[in-house]
Amino acid sequence: MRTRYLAATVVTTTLALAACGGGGGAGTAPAPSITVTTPAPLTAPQSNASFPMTFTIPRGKPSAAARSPRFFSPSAQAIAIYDGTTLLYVANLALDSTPAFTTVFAKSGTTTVAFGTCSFTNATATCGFTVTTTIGAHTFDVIVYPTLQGPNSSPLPNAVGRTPLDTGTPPTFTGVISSEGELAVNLSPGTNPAQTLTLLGVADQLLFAGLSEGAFNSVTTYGYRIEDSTNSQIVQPGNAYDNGPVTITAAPAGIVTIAPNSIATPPATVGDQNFTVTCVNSAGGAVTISFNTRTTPNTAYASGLTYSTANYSGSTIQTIPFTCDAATATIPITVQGKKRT
Amino acid sequence: MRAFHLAVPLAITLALGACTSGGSGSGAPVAPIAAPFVSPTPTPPTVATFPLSLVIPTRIVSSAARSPRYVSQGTASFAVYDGTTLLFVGNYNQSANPQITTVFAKTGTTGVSGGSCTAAGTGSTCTVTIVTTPGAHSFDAVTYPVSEGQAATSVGRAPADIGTPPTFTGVILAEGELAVTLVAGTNPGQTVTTLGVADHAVFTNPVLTQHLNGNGALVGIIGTSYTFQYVINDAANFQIVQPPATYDNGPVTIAETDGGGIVTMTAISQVAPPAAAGPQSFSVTCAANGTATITAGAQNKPTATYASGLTYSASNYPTATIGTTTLQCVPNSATLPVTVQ
Repeated sequence: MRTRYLAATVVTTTLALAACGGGGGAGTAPAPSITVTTPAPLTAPQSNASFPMTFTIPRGKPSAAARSPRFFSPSAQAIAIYDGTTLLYVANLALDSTPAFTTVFAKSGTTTVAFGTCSFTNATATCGFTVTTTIGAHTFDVIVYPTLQGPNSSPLPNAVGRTPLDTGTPPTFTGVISSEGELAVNLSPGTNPAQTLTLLGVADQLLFAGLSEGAFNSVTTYGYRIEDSTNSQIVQPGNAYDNGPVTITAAPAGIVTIAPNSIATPPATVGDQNFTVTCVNSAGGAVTISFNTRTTPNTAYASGLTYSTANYSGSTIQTIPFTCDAATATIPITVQGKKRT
Repeated sequence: MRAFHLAVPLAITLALGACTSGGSGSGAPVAPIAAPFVSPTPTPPTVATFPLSLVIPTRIVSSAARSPRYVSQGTASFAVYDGTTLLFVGNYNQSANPQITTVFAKTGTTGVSGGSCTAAGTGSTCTVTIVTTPGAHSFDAVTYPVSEGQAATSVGRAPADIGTPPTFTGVILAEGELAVTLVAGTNPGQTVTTLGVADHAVFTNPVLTQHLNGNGALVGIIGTSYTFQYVINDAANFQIVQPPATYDNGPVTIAETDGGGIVTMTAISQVAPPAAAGPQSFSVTCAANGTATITAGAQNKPTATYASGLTYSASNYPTATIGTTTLQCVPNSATLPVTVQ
């Protein structure tokens, strides 16, 4: 798993435990704080501890301000367009270059794609293209990849100088799909009204921050972000994950409860989300908290792609070890001694 | 369509005043009835009488029940000629009593002794008794959709003197000629068969489902066949049907007239009206991008040369173009601008 550092501030954590599990290593950017609260311990002494935990997300972009962590990430490096099961067009993307795309494959014939321009801001990334095809019902699928496609299937430093493939040869796609979507339209002759296709991000990995140990009956709050395969947090406007919901489970059962334990909707904006872990077994114990997704899209897309771990997220996108301490007891002891005289 | 409901029995009985034997009948163009009569007596009378009838169908409220005939249900007046001589003009009102009102009746050696209508089947038979000289005669009957002379529907028009031929108004509905050779005395009655004058074509365009540019005009698609329906009506807006087997100004032609070859179709040259009321049809196939103009045409004067010698113009006869319709054809191609976000 990639090494990440998620900033979190833990405040008002009162533990009666002899040892407290620490968070991750301190990072540089004190990103949004995460408050973890546990109930007061049964015994004194009490102590409050706070620590900043930060994470950084490595990106190809020089500036974090330029990142657009959306489901259609500006870190995306390739896009494929289908009409039903027919691959129409594949382009490698370099959104901060002009042109922003390099055609890898373009189907010829009655159905063609003319790729337009792409733009991105701090919050959005969009690309436009125009499909020319026959009138009638069509289902267009768009799939975004985190890596360049073509003979040089491994990610290249940039798309500059890359020789486009023969337009007659569809590439062998590589990389885990970062987002996809479908547009079903009944086309009229001529120029049809423009359509906007909102892609759904594929939950591929998860960043988290939080204590790894809790006392009996304590509530530990974790911060997390669900990302796609381009390392961008998946946010709205896509109102679902392509492989959602993301469920949070703990094994073995009976040691902790987790709330919420299912995340169906991406957040509206970039930032941490939270879930809590409550130790509910006085005997304590160690659990593995898992973040689970579907291994295929919720939607049966018309493209008819075959999904596997080679091109789609696995069933578990992150695990967190967590330990619950056994309940503690206080025993008042009075020691009587005889004063020497 | 206007709902004219008219039943005019028109019987014209010709009584020949002079006992001259008949000459040859004039050419009866469409449905002439040559009825030579042999003098029955060695001492011929000086005049010949001849009842000439015209059947006018009853106006029926229900269009489904209409029985359009070569004599239009919309007949409101009729005129009878002997050669170029106007013998009789009568207005017809189905609900009046008497149904026929004389506008003009010629008197003299060749004249009309009277006109009357009687119910006959689904219409009325109007008969005028003509008194004229024995020998060959060509009697023409011309029907109009409006009343002539003092007719109530001729707003502001003063009733014509019975001795003054009216100035005819309205486009002729139908006309026909009966060539007979009369003998002295009372001749057998004859019924004039009139031919409907194709005045306008009413097209019912195919039901198109494709809007150009999404919400534009309904268009046809190149390579697709479309069926038009049409009916050929007279000036009273009643469909002309058999009998007889021809139009007065036929054949009716239907063809693409824009010259652009936008559609392919088998040009229609329709000599005979349909045997029964109801739409006829033809098919076209969109072949090129553009708007096809499909025109229905007919002659702007009768096919036959009637003995009446009427002068035909746009005021009393249809023009050469009796209807047009259009079909816009576009390629089977659609463009769809898509924005992916």
